[in-house]
Amino acid sequence: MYRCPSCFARDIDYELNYDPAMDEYYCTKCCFTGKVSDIERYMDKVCMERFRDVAKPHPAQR
Amino acid sequence: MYLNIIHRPFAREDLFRAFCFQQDEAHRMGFRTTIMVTLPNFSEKKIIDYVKNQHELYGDEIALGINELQCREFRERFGTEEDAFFLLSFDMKKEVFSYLMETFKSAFGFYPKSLGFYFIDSRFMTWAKQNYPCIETAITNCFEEGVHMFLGNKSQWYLFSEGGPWGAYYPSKRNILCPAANEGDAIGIVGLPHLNRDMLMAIVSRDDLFSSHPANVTRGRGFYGDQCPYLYRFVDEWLKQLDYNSFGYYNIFVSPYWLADGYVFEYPNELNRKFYTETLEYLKSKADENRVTCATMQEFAAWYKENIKIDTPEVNLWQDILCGSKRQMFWYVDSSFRVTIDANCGGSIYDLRPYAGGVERNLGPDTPHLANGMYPFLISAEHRGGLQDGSLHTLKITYNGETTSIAERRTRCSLHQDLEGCYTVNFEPVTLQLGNLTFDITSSYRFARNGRIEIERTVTNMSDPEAEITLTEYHRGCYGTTIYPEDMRGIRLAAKGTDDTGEESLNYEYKCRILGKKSPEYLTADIPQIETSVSLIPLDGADWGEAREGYLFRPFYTLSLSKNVRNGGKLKSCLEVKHLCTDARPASQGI
Repeated sequence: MYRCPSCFARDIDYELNYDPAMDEYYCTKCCFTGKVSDIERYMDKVCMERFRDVAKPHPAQR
Repeated sequence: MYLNIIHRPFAREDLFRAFCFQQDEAHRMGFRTTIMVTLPNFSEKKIIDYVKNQHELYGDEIALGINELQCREFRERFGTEEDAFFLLSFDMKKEVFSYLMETFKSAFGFYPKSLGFYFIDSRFMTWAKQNYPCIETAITNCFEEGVHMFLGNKSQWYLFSEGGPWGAYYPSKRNILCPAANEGDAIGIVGLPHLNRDMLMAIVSRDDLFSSHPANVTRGRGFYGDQCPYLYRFVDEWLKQLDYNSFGYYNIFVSPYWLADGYVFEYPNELNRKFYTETLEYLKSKADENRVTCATMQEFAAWYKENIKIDTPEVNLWQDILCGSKRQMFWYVDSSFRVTIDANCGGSIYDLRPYAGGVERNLGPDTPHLANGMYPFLISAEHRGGLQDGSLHTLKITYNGETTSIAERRTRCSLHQDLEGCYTVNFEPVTLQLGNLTFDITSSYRFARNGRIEIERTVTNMSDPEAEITLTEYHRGCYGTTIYPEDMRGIRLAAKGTDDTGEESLNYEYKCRILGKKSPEYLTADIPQIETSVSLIPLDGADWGEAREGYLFRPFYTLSLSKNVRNGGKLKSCLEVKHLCTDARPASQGI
């Protein structure tokens, strides 16, 4: 199950629908449409821009 | 810092496996848990036997969880599909609860001392304590769970409990989210939050994504690859609060749903288990350093009752640990109010919940508020505009007809507790410019108890030492619980000068009227809708004061105090919050 990265960027969890004919996902809340790779790229970009310390290591990490 | 690890069993095979995983991991670290048994569990011998065994083997506490009523037995026995216990009518709450307590006793031979709710109202909790005095503690609310969470969950999760304390407290009989003022006001239990939250993200984003619940953090995408350093920093940030408070409370309460095999979001499910274990391991390392003490819920409640007096203030100075923003958010809570001050707004009050009003917020179809348990605000920059001409308490500065505000600059703050036990939060100077004139403003807020905040603004480093500027302490308020305006009619604004002209007042009718006073003694807004009176009082004189009515496009009231000062000058004032009916007029002297 994939969440809409565009909605996620505005703090909303919204599951994407899948269109098998077009082999792509689409959002029924906003107008996002894309393949899995589009979703992942968008989601990663949102998170990296918004959570700038997300990858900052902590000394206790394994 | 005290640690509660709370687990909730389910009978479904994959969920039961996940629950056993949680139990095993906690025990592997040497921690004891609190197991919240729920209604569907009572008909599952496997679960009852397992829980009894864990209790005997490890000393885990067996508690009663009221969150899970989703089962056929509930629907058939009580004839409703409303399985959110906190939203049942008072009569049905009593009926269901009595049944759960007696069923629990039949299963285990004793009544539970600890209860788990997402939210519960004070009317029911008072009744429950009176009828079952064995109850020592309960999870009473989800901190800042409300507007943002609701929108983020497709408007499907009807849990509205914004405006409460974030930690352990003694809940009041008036409203479950108000800390009790005294013994007579206290329900008699220790109230606990459902989870510890990120004290910045909980207010500017969603409380349910950034918390002591590792799988919530995964859902909020607070991880990177297969690593989640945020979870370590989260524990560190809570431990840091021990610098300011005499104790700390932390809990982890993850339903096995989040750790089960069938859990599906767009990231690998294994991460949730990995992060769960890593969090426990990190807490174990802190326990080994004697910085964390693991206890069951009833053990913590017993310690709390022994060691923490009713109406002990709690503070939290939270530093952004995720977004790299350097933003600090300061929180203060006692029985009079909960105050949030944002260093990113130059040290302005960002959120203010006036517990002195003690308004009732019982829930259910038999109550006026139905599902909305949120404690009303006077100021919510998040919901009602803030810097953008909305509700905010700040300082404005005027020079040669131009005006600016400390909210235009971000700053940093530090915390100090004096010998009287009162907290003062001090903000580093913000540098501002009006025309060719530059100057610094330093702010401090002293929480003087009894609903009083003493605010001091100091001007230094003026580029023109002869220049005179006007400082205006500016309180722009409203009331409500959501993003939408409430009916302001019925609010009474009043102003009184230090001369003998008496008090002038007006009733709010959206007419933009102004009550102005030279040398003001006080400015007040009485808000009967939330039984609250708020006043702005000069502590060392002021030149001008105003109580200003708003209009429909800007539905706020404004209280302001102005003083002309030169370099080194100060404006000292007191923001006072009181219960409206009993003690509405502020004391004019000796504040």
